[in-house]
Amino acid sequence: MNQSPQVPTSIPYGLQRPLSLFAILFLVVLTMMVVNICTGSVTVSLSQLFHLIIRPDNTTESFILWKIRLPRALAGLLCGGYLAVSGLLLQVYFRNPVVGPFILGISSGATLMVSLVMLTSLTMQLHIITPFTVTLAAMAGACIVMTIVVAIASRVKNGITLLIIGLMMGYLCHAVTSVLTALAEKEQVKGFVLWQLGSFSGFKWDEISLLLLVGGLLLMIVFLLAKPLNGFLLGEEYAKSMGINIRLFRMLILFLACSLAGMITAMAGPVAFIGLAIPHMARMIFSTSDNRILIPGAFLLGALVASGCDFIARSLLSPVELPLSAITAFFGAPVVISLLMKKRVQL
Amino acid sequence: MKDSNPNTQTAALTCHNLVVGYTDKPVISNVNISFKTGQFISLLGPNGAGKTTLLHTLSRHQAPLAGSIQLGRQSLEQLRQADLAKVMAVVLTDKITPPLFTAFQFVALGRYPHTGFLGRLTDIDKDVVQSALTAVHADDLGHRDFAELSDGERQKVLVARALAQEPKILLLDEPTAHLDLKHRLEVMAILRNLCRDKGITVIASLHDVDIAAKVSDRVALVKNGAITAWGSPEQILTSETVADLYDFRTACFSHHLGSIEIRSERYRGRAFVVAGMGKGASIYRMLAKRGYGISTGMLLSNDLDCYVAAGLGAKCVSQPPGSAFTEESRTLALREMEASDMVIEANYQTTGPYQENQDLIRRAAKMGKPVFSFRTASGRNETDGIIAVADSNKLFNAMEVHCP
Amino acid sequence: MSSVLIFICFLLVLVACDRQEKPTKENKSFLQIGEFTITRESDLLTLARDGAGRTLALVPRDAPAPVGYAPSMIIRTPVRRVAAYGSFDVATLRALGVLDETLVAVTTPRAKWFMDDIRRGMDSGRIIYLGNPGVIDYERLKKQAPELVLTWDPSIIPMLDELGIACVITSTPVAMCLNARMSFVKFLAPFFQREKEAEDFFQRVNDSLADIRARTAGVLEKPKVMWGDMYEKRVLVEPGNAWIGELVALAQSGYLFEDVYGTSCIEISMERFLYSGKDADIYFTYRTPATGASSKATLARLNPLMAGIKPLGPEGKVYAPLPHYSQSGDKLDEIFTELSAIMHPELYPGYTLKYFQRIPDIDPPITNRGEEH
Repeated sequence: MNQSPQVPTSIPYGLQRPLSLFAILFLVVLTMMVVNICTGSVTVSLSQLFHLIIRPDNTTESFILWKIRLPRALAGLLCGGYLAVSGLLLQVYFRNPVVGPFILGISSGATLMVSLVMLTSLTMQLHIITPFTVTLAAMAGACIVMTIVVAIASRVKNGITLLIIGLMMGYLCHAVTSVLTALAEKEQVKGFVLWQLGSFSGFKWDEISLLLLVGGLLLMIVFLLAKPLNGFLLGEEYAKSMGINIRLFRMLILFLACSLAGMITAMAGPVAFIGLAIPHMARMIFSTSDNRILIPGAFLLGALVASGCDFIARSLLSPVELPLSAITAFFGAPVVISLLMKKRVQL
Repeated sequence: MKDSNPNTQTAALTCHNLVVGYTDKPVISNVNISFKTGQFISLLGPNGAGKTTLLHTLSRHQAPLAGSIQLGRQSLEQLRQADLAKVMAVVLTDKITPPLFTAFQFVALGRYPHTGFLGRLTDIDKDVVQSALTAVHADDLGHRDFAELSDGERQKVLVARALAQEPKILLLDEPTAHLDLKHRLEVMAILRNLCRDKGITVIASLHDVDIAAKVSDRVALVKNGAITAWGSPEQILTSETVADLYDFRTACFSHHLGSIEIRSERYRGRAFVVAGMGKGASIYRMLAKRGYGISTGMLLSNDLDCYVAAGLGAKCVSQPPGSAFTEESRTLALREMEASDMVIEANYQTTGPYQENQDLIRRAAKMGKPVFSFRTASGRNETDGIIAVADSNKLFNAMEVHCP
Repeated sequence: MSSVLIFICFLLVLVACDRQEKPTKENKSFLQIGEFTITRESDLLTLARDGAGRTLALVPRDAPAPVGYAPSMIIRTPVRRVAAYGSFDVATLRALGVLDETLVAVTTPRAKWFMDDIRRGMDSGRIIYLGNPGVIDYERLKKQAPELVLTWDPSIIPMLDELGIACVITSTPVAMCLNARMSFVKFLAPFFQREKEAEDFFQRVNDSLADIRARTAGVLEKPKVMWGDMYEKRVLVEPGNAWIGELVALAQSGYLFEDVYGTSCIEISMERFLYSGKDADIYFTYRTPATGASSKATLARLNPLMAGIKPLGPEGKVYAPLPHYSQSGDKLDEIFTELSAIMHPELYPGYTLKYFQRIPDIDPPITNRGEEH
């Protein structure tokens, strides 16, 4: 996973720096995960936790640890990491620093399908209430938007055109969602508004497995595409001249980015800011645009920040939960600004 | 080593009846040119003539509307993108958002077609990158951040990146635009050396006709949807062809001098310059710059001043060397002098062929025309009606005073 | 670092959400009900402070306009035409006995009203539907020309100012405590000069509370109660500072979210919901069977992680409000009694539920394309 460019020793950016940063990040992420498992609105002592990890039993505490806290901790890590990578992909592809994973309307499409499920009595009339109704609906919405986006990308060369089309689709979905919201019952709206704010709460082990397997596979493919991604840094024309199959690459990148973002949105709702800010933080911390470093770097940083924000969201006014997207924006925006000011890096 | 004789090299890239342009809109038609290995080819032409379109078609960024392009023995279309990247590299005008790379890492991007999975650099790759940097005189830039380089340094690094691909053909779109003179000359020299030393075919679209004339093996003049001329610059680039290419009205490409002279608008009056031995050249230019009409004489036709005067469109009285000035010349010169508003003595000689010009000076003074001279104190004094000036600045101050 | 500073600001903002209980005090000239106050300055001027902290001047019709108040803040009493957003406000009007005479506009369509008087009013055209509360039809409002609008949405105030209609914000930043809910009628009373009816209402409710207190004194079984809702991945509860918390305590029972503070319908962590739910005997939902709470099995299937709470098992009971519950704010005495009866059925033999229903273990079977038994 740590494939760094081997540069001659005359150049200061030796192999050492990225590796040690990775090691530190990894340790911090692990620590964050442990903290997330050990804390919660229900007090479980550390020794009890330790026992329950080794030997789970039928108590509520064991259930809370294994079925609620562990999945949530893992969800925070994985969702944060995947979102960061998705954002990185889109920022490299569009060569635009203010692009995030939801720029192409993925979350809007997911939101629209979820609003159909939660705000209308469609699912009840069809008697299809399952524990995954909302998740599946969101996934369907994200997939539909993604299909449209990839289809358009195979025909449209200009990145700006694609961006605008994505934005317009987002607006369209949002418009329909607004209408549904206006016509819905108050209690239903409350639940829907909650979903829209995103949360790592309520993850089930099935979903974690899906995140690990499918997400892991996608992440692996993304990493293998690090070389053409680097070529893409100079723009499509140069990339083509270096031998990259632009059309295939374009569709593949968009597919990967939208899949990752769609999967996360389906399970956790739209989590704002992580995909936009973490790639910048990664770039600044690792001081490189080399995607072979940035992809794992962004993943680890995204995992860390998302877990941290989730910890804050649920601990600050425990047991009351604060909206996750508010915390991510609140925490992340000043950090990015201060990093920018310090380094005076132009993006 | 490399075959550096432009007339016996093999064809690297050949165009057959090529038509380039956009769907329904041909930009250049009937291109039938062969680019040989190791040649430096310049594409010259006004803005919008289609040089960039042609380059994009040659690099396969755009499809041709008709005709075909051969790369060596294969058709350009049939090559796989990855294979094409190993023989052809480009330097474009696209604006690059500088990534967070050192110059070395940036150039290393060019190894893309040659590296394996994940782009790991072997020792060979690193050597190629380093020698690419050396070839562009950017050895010491390797460890510096790409974003901090100046425009000139960046352009060199861009060329180095293209070189790292180890191409046989290098296509450059306006490589010297936005560069200061030092870097402009440096880049051109680097490219010329690449042709000589590495046998790379360089095809570049340029705007500097004078520089292009000095480094190119072949030039193609692109205008009005066609290649209006193709051949060596020595044959193709005459003042007429260049003036026609760029629609010059007040400029002239001097074929002999290999540079462009800007002609006078002639709104201020006429000056007669007694010159010779190259001393008149800068005076002519300054007069032209300030809007004076210029007449000059008598000159020998092998004198530099003659060429400069011709480039500037001045009225020049000259005759071939070898004999004394004829009566015809003297009469012509006198007539010109009389028709002028002032006389400037740029060259003062009491011996040699130009001593006869002293007669013109004397007559001018007697006629009461303002006469300005650069001669030193050992010459005549002011009572003779000649205004002495020490340098050209003082000359023009004096001109302002005496001839408003 | 800058982030720390911003954090502190964030915390301060949260703390600024007033955490103090405002007791109800009553003396001749000053009445405080939660966030609302009524100050009787003189016979000709009563000041009312609404849920958004705005001070309105209530002036009898024939009296001169008081100095120092913007015209939009002066309300002539008794109000003859009123538009109301919330069903609780409408119920309060009913409690004051002024509904039939003064209510002219609502923001819920006729199909969703279960109260006969409203339905009759809408059928006869006296009461009109203004559209959804988020986007009311201002032209209709203007045509209907109410003198006062009771709403929770402060964003309509500029528009109402232009139309020359007074506005009272009747929502509060935190959930209404028991006293505030009971006494709210006293806040609206001066607007209609129905102080006596308000007193009677308050007394009625107070009596029912006293009855509950008396009946449940010395009871041995103290059931544990939770009130909230479960969605696919999130859970909401009614906080401890809401009226239900106090009522449950009054009825010698335990409200499991006593320590949670906030507005109505607040999100809490699932582990807390589960942990408290394990002990709950009775679970009240927000949603009606029509909107998702149709059976224990449905709820369990919707959120399997929370299926382990006691009420969803065989030993617990789940109650959903009946559709007209939210529109019955004038029947607080009956509602409180019913809640007590749910908590202590043995003390109320033969009691039939009027505002809540107990939801079954599984969904009833469907026959004839959607009709249910």
